[in-house]
Amino acid sequence: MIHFKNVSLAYPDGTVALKDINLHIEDGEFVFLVGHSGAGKTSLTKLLLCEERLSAGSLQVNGYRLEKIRSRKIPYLRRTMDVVFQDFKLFDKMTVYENVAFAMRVIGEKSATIRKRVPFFLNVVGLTDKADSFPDHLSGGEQQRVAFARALVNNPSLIVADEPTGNIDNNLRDDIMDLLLRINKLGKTVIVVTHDEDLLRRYRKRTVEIRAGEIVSDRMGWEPSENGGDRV
Amino acid sequence: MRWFRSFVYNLKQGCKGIFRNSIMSTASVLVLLSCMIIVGTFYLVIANIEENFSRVDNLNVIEVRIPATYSDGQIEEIGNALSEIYKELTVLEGEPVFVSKEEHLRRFKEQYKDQEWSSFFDETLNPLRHSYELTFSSDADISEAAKIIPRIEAIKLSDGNLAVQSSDISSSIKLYENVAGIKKTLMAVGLWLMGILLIISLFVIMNTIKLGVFARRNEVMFMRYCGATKAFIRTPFLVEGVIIGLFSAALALGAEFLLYRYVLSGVVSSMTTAVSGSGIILSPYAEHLPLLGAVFCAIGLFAGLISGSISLKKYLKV
Ligand SMILES: Nc1ncnc2c1ncn2[C@@H]1O[C@H](COP(=O)(O)OP(=O)(O)OP(=O)(O)O)[C@@H](O)[C@H]1O
Ligand SMILES: [Mg+2]
Repeated sequence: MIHFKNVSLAYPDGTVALKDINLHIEDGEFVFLVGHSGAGKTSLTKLLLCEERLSAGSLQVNGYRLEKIRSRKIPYLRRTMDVVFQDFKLFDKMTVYENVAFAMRVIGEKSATIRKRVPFFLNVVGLTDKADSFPDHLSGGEQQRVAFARALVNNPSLIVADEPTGNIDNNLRDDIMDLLLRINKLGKTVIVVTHDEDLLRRYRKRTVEIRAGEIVSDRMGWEPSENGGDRV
Repeated sequence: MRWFRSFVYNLKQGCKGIFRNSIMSTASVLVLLSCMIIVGTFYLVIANIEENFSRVDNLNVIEVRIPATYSDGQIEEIGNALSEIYKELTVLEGEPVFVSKEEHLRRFKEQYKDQEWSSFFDETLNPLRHSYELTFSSDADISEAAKIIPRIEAIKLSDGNLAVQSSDISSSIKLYENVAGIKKTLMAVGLWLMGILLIISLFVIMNTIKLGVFARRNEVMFMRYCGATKAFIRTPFLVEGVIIGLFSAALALGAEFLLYRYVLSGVVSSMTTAVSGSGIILSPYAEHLPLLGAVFCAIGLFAGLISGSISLKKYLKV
């Protein structure tokens, strides 16, 4: 569960990226987060990860109170979620299999568990036969799917995808959306950050719009709004 | 098993880090190595000076020669005065010992018995004088022992005249002081060089680790977002520093051995022939190995851990 209450975020240089955010997302929801470039979408994601600390308000994520979390606890918060950033990078010296396994190794999983789970999630994203390929031999869409396998493998309850359809063509877009919906069906909360209006029209889901750091609309489906749109 | 797994992991990552940036790693090892060799060489030189010096006999004896014109009564007066000094100063090991001029002659003839001219001297032709010998403990602080001399010089006979002159007193205190001075100078120079090189090695290792952090920036970022703990992310970098330190220590022990065996012993043997019969003996390297090993490892660990931590604090956000 994610609960923002009057949350603001100001960067050290004074830029106010988020202002007075109130937002509640239940476990298992599927939410689009939309907004123009610079609106504050990535900033909101970084708050969830506790990469940035909120400047005001209170924020609860998967049972952790982020306004007062100890830095020692942050790694454990991060294990409950996984973010695929818009500029995600696979490790080009590791095979697809190793890329996925690496995510488990860094939190100290046993080799036996790794051997069981990695093939399972490569299968979920449909890349079983690419396990031994290196990332630069994969298409953009396939790379994206590896990134999702890597995000899923530690069994997080929340997946955040920042512009998952940003740099791939239209056919692949549906594949990725398909994958995200399947992940959602597994019972995981999915937040998709995008400014792809086509996508929003095609998949009618709860859509939260941010503009200049403020939530300007939160409703089912998407209608482009001029001059702000109404608050829900 | 868990600790063993993470031990192996960290060791592997640390080694990988070293080879990833082999030029900087080599530079780190070289600077650290020269620092250790400086420390080791100065230590070995000082230790050998000390040992050879302590091997020489009678360095801690002060001899007070009695002017030939003195009567037996006056000689006894001097003896009593010296006895007083012994009772006051704790550095003295025992009562003054009277050595007659006959005894001195016997010792003299014994020492030069191979020389033809020694038979020329006998009881009727004895240029030597009676004396008192005062012995201070050989491990005494030399500045304490030096205080004996002015006390002896101040002894007055009952007629009010000073009993002996400074030329009548013979001791090795000056030699002691000179050797102590040399040791002190060597120690100071050695420590300065060590300090400078240690600081340089700290900077070089810091840079090595910094470059490692930059090279692995993406990996580190990913690990953090996956929820890897601070220790998990940082330890491989620290291990990298420690390996550099310990590897340098091992190399330094070897290099120091070669230096000791071939260079220092060569210098000593040429000195021994120049100052004939001075007989400087180098102690075996193995005798110094434990201490040198411990010191080198300590320097290596210190440099590796300190520069690693500083570098991580500065460049690695966890
Ligand atoms: N580290 C930072 N320091 C200062 N200002 C920042 C920092 N990161 C982002 N900002 C500013 O905060 C605002 C929100 O940025 P953010 O990256 O969240 O936008 P976004 O909605 O993700 O945009 P995009 O769609 O281009 O990714 C922008 O004005 C940006 O310039
Ligand atoms: Mg962004």
